Amino acid sequence: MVTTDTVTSNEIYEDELFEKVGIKKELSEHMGRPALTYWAEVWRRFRKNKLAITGLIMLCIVTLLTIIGPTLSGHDYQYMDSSIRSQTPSASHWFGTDRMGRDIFTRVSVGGRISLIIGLLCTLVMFTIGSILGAIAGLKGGWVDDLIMRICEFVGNLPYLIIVVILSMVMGRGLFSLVFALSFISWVGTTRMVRGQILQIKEQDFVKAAAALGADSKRIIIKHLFPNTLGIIMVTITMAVPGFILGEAFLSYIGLGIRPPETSWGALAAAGQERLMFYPHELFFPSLMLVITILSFHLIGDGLSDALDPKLKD
Amino acid sequence: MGRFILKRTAYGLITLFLIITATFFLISAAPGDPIAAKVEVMPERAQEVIRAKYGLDQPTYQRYFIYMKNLITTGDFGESVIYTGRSVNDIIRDNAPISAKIGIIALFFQITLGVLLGMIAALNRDKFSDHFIRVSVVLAICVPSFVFAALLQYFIGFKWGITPIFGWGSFKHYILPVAVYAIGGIASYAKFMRNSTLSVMNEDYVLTARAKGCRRARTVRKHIFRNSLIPIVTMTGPAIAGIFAGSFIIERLFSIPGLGQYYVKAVSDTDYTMVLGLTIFFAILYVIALILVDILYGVVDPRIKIAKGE
Repeated sequence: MVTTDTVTSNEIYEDELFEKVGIKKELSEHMGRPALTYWAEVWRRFRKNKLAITGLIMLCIVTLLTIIGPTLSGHDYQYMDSSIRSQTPSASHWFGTDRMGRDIFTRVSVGGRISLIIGLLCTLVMFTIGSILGAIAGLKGGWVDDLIMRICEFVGNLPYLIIVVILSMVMGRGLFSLVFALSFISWVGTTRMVRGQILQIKEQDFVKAAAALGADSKRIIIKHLFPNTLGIIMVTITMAVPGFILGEAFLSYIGLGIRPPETSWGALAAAGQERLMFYPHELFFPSLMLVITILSFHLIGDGLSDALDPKLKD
Repeated sequence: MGRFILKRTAYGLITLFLIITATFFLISAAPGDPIAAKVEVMPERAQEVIRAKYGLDQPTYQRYFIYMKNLITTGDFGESVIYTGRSVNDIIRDNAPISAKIGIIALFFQITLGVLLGMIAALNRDKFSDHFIRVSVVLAICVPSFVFAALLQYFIGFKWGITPIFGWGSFKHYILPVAVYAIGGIASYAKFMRNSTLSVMNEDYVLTARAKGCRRARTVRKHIFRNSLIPIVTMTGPAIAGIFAGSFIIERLFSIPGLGQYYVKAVSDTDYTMVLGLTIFFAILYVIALILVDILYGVVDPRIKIAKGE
């Protein structure tokens, strides 16, 4: 059978259809696509993820709105006009007005600043304490590690929200007391995660190779350990921000949120909730902003963790 | 096992002791004097009498010892400074059962529905039901409970009049609060259950079971289900904490006379003794819940019992 096949194919395909390929020198050095640095590679994969990009765009729009919102609307967020109380959305007041006749669009924009700032600051505090403690525990080992892990175990067993309530009750309702209360015992997860990462990476061959080549521990930390933990830390950070934003909203609902005249999405929603049956728009818009923001952070976080996963590399 | 429980209980007691001490001194140092705020017009003599009644004329550390002694020997959590004669113990006795009832019903739905949905999603990976469940889970996690509560109150309670908007009493009053409590938990249980089922499905023992000719339904029941439950048990601790948190907001929104609502009210009244007493009570519940979860963990995963037992 084999021979007949060869014979027939020789009859059908004539020799002139074939040419010798040979070696093309310029192509042998060619790469499928240019080599990218790690982060460029991550960004390339992240960009392909439509949901994650949608999240990023939504977050940018929301952030932009909190910055230029008051300028756009031309109203002051504290200005009360008793002739236009509780109006539904209209051409001059895009999100309507509240019971004091204040423009809700402007208030939502200004409130967003506080919500976002609290979310970001708390995450920063959490990340700083967590990664310093985690790095110390992972790098030093021994009794230092034991001590830090014991502290983590203790703090991790505390009822988070009750501690937050007590702290903010005692410390007052300023921006920094809120950040303090919300982030005071929030770092346990980050500490454990960073420690775990460092322990894992520390044992890998490239770190040993670096040490064998004479790199001191400072260089190893900066050049090897830090970049390799950065990815997972970024995912954690992205996922932590909405938690803190919600935490602030929770405090606002039980009357411990930011002190008026300052406002936040949580405070606006809490105020709107009281008049839900008659003026649902007062609750709707701040809630919508909260949901959009939280959703964006989740989508970005999911996209990041996919993009950072080397197993999914194509 | 016995040693493990003992050790865990000892840790729990230390944690409780530190929480009580820290809360006591924090609240004592808090700004504002609840009595001065309420009784500005009262003659000084009367104020002194009231102060003496609550022991506020004594130094903080002495009050601390008295409080601890009463708490440990008689289980006395203290008395409200705002509402004369209303003790924390009364509030707990009358209102904790209400919170507990809603919380337990909600927890039941969270776990059963969450685990079920997570399993369905994992077993039908990348099919329609998986995508549908995943999208719903993301949405449910991103919508804060108070927004969800508002939606339900507005549409089901107000527009369509199916259930009462808020209040407490009949069976119908349970529906909305339990739904709001449950939704976030269902979503996070489903998310975790899906991930854990997917990773268990790749384990060698599942492959072995299939290779030996074990039918799919039996593999799922006997091999996949129990193993993928393990990480779910660790989540139960935070879930119980979530019930406290939920009780603060949800009981307030639905006007349910539970502990959470009293706690929030005490906080806004700056009723310091009430806050202290209820905080301690919550902390005790929380610590007990964590110990139970740890024990449960050993039951679900026998490997852990051995590791922890020594």
